[in-house]
Amino acid sequence: MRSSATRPSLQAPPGRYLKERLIQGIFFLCASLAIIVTVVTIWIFLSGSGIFFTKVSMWEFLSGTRWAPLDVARPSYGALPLIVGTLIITGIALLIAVPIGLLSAIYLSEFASERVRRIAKPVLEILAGIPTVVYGYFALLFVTPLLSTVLPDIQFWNALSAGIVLGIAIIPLVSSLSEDVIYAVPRALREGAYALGATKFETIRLVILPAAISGIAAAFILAMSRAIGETMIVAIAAGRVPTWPPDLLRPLQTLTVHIVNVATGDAEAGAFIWATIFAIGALLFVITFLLNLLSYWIVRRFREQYE
Amino acid sequence: MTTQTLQRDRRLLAWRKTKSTLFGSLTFSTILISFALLVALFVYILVSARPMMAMRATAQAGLVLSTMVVQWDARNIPYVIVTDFIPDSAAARAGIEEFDVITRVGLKPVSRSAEVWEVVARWPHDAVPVSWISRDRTRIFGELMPQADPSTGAMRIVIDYLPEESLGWQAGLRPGDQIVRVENIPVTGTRQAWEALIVAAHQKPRPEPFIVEIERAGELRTVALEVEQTAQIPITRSWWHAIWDFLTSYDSNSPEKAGLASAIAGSFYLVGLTALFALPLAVGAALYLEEYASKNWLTDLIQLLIANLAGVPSVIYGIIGLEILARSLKMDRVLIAGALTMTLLVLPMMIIAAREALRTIPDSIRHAAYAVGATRWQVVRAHVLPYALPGILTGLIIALSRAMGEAALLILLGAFQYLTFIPGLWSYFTVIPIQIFTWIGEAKDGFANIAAAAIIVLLVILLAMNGLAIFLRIKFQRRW
Repeated sequence: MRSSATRPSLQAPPGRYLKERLIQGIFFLCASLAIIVTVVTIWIFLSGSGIFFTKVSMWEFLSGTRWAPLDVARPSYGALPLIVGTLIITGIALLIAVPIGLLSAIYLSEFASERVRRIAKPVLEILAGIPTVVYGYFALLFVTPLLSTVLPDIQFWNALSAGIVLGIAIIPLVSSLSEDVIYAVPRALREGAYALGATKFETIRLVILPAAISGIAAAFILAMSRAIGETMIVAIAAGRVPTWPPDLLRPLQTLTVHIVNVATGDAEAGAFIWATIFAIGALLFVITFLLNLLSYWIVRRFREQYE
Repeated sequence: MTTQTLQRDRRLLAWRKTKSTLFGSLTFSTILISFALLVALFVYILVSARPMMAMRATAQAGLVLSTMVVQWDARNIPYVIVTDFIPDSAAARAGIEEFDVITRVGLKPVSRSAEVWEVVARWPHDAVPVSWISRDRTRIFGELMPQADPSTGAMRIVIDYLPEESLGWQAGLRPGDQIVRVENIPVTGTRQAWEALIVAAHQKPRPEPFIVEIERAGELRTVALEVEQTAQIPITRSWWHAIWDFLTSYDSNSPEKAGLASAIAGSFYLVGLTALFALPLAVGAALYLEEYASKNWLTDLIQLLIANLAGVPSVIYGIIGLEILARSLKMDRVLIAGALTMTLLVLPMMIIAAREALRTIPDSIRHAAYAVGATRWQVVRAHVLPYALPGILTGLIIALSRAMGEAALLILLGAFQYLTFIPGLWSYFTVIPIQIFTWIGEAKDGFANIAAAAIIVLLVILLAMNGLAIFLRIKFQRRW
């Protein structure tokens, strides 16, 4: 008794290491969920679109200009109108979001006083937090009527207003990502430029932007990926009809909207139309996954430059 | 020579400075644009939601309305009818019945239900004069019969039966009269005789007798017919009542009666379940990556995949959820399936946020605990987690507010439903964003207004969630 009190055991209580290992194992399982989800996703899309591609050739899918999977007499599975529609909406959105987002980021990190920053940043955060159905409502019932005063030919559902509002929705994404990279440009670079007599504009244009360009490119790519995957704004405001050739003032359909169309339609569970959402989904998944990978890779490479 | 150079340099310098200022203003203007857009969005939604109060007050007074269209002279002429008869309502007591045509409200002609609500919203008194034409034909013309004229063979519209208490009888019409013209509109069919009244009523600036030309025993006569009836209908307009009614009633085919009850319950249920599923998984994964993992290819891969999964479009998760839960596990498209799928969507975001919270805990805390002999789990449980918890919860709430506004994923999981009950775990469900989406798609007047009202409810909930996150951050924030 006495000896054990004076000489504390260095041995851990029995089971302690087992418990430690068990807990670590559980946490590892949680983390490995990311691998499981990715693998399952890839498997689901491979097997799901496998059914689709036994009936429709890959070439027809990617180059056909008539998307009419619900046409009973003459179904046609050319996804080009959807792909081009997605690219058009994404293009308009980026045209809006990239200049505004980038310039806001420059303002916030280079020009704004602390007081202005405290007001301006929440504005962008609120824009980022607004659900996309709300943007869809805004596009359909506010932006389209507004545009119709300038463009009388515009239809109730059209690509233009959906693209513009989608652009507004991703402004905060562009601005916060670019602000992070602009902020990460070392102070020494700025001060070096000022010491040489450069004005603020020259410093930004010749020093900061070139230094931050890879991060800005990553932001651009993420914004693109987000725009390609955006669903609700387009489903509400761009109409749900595939058109070929595409027209900004007329309705068009994107990849995501086709998926929504099938899900809200009344097709039976086993119908072939459900196979199309796997083919479309696989396309969407591959595009966004590659874009995300690219931006992740750029950001990593960029980060290592200054750390 | 030197002064010239100096001047040129000065000009150049001034120009460079101006460029800088101009660029500064340009960048500032983009912030103003964002601000203006935000204000425009909020103002537009508030303005669009405003008629909701008048809508519900009108419906409560017994006027559940619908806009119909009559074809006239190749034109589409809209008119308002009462689609729902509410016994014991103010309108019912005034004598308005189902399918009666509302011609004017506040003595102004109305042809769309939205116009009715607008007048009601602006009417300064508690009782609004409402005029209507009774759909019950016997009150006006009795039963009409098309007959061939024995001499010419042309079609005549003749009154076949007319009760003595009818408006037509009181105005002097009798059975056997042939109706020739209503307010100068030639009558050639029985339905047209009736529709002529609606068209004529819209052209009159105020309720006054209609001139009906009839032929009785071979001679033409005119009769002044009081077609429109007018009554003062008491309407109580209360913001609180309208809002409460909107929040507690179920979806309906009439925008005046449709409410958000199922959607609000569904949203909270879904987000609560998502939190329950996602929090332990996110914390576990974040703890593994921050506290346990050694730097190797597997850890790198997991990080890469998490970053990528955070950017995968939500419809993709919808398809995965549909395939795994609904198809493979034969689950119906019920609320719990929605919550499980939503967990997949928010998990990457929450892991990233939880990792950031864990990274703010300085290593000195960990080292101190290790120094007194704590095991890794003891360090995590007793020191790292408690300190990081507010940060983790903040990240959780922000990820959940994303789930609260998410619609695309749930459309695939079948939340696109017409629901008139409070959803449970294993029942079909709907959520606020989907309810908004459904209402935006409705063509009927008024649905856009209640969609705006639902948007306000959604934004208030999101604001409360973000407020809670900010509160947690401020209250428990530590500086190390």
